[in-house]
Amino acid sequence: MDAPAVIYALRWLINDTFRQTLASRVFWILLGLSVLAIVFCLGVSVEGGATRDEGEFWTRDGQPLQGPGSAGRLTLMFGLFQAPFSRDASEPVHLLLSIFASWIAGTLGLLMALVWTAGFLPDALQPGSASVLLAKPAPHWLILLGKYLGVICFVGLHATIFFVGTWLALGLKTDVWQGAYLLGIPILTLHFAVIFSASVLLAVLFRSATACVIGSVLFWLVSYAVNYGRDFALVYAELNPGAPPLPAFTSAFSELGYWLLPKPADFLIVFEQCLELGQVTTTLASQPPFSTVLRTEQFHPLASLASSALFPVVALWAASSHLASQDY
Amino acid sequence: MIDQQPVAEFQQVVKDYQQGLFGLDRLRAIDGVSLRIEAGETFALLGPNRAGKTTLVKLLLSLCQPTEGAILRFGMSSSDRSTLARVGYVHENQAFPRYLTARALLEFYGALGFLSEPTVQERAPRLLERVGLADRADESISCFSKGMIQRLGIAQALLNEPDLLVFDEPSEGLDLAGRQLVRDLVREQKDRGKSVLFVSHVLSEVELFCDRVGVIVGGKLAFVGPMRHLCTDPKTGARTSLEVAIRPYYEGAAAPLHTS
Repeated sequence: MDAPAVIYALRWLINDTFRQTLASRVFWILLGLSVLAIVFCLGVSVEGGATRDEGEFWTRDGQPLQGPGSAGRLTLMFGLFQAPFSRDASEPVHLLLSIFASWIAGTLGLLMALVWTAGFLPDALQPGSASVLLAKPAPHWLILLGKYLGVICFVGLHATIFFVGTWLALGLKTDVWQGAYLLGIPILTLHFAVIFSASVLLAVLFRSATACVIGSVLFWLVSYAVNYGRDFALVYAELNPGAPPLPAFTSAFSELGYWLLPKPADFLIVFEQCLELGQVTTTLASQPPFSTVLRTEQFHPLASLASSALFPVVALWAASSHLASQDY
Repeated sequence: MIDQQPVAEFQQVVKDYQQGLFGLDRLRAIDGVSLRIEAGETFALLGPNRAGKTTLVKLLLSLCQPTEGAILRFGMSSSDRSTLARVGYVHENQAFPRYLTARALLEFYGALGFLSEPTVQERAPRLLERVGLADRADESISCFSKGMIQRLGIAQALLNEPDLLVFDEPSEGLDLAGRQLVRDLVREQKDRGKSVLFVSHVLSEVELFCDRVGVIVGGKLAFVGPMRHLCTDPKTGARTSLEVAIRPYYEGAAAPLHTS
């Protein structure tokens, strides 16, 4: 195996996946949803709003802002809906960014991408296709890696379109430029890459698109629950003062699950932390038990992301070993 | 230069498939098969349905692993996948990604066969011309008939100019011109001193160009030897047709193993 041949094979496996996304229309559906989000952002505008100077808010006519009164107005859908806001223009824009980051892209977008791409590998492993594919000298790990990278590149491209598009549209319309929002591209792509590796393993184990779709979503939910459960166990005493402590095995079990599995909630919290959303209360980071974990400085973002990133290495290795030992 | 070592060798190969709940039951598909396919020969594998022919082919191509015994390709263990670069395989029911065009499919399989990009670019149009699909090169496979897909499958098998061409029921779905194409290809392969493993129920084709034949029944080799030996009555010395010669093996009336 020489490097140019491996790169040529990888290029074709990625190319093949892109053709698959075009043929299955997944490419166009995700592009359409991104365009919808961008059009929504173009329909946003802010009027008025206080200015901030040395920690104090000032009205446009130079008076200090007092109380929670209305300082400006946010309009949505090209003026169809209006809502007052009480401080500077970045306040409602941050709220919109948090919704896009945590809920639209980070949760809904990720689950949609997971469901729509879960069938790609099982398709390639059906008897008639697999016999010719696996009778080629390319090793099994290379075939799996190529298909995996193809889907990751596809999701990365759509994450780029979504984040750059909505960032530009909101920035142009509100003049609030939150550069950290673009960190959503690598964070969302990494989050997807971690969860999709479980889908690859399921594809090799069951060779069924249905099993992959259901299994991947269940896996994400279980990982999220373990992430939540571990954080809850971590700050249980603080949240329930006076209550008897949790049994030692519960804490140990939740800790083990947390470090072994991907951490979907942590990905969203890391992204929210990058955005420095300030007073926004719709973020995951502002909800217990995550808020308590953050306040008590028990959140270790680097360790969390690094251990999550190890998961695909193990999952792809297991999938490749299983593929090599299976009868086709 | 063609190697003098066998292109394929099965050494006391046993293959059991797991069946039933939790895979506790076992079905023996191949039972102690030893067989060599020599360089430059055209070898036919015959047998009734579910005799184990396709399993033997899959074992040769590392699509499944033997339960016991060893398989060598070009003198190397079948676990060494690099030797698959010298094998071309035409499957009986080929299912290709329907979103690819004929040309893209050849480039895709060429890349997985570790051929260089210029080599694939040079060979793909020539092979599409050879199998009669040059005018459909940029059409999606989803528009292709079964026969056209089979022709495309033949083209992808020839892409690496294989030293061993494995045809598993190649005539399935092919029209008369397609069948003639298969015959011509086998003859060309033979003329170049390369090997062919031919699995088919079309006995006229087997009779036409195969040097040696193996008859497999119930996972065991019932006969291995030159075609002329199989088609000669051992008692009278009279020549019979292949169909007549293999009938006792199919009906279980022949001796368990006869090798010549």
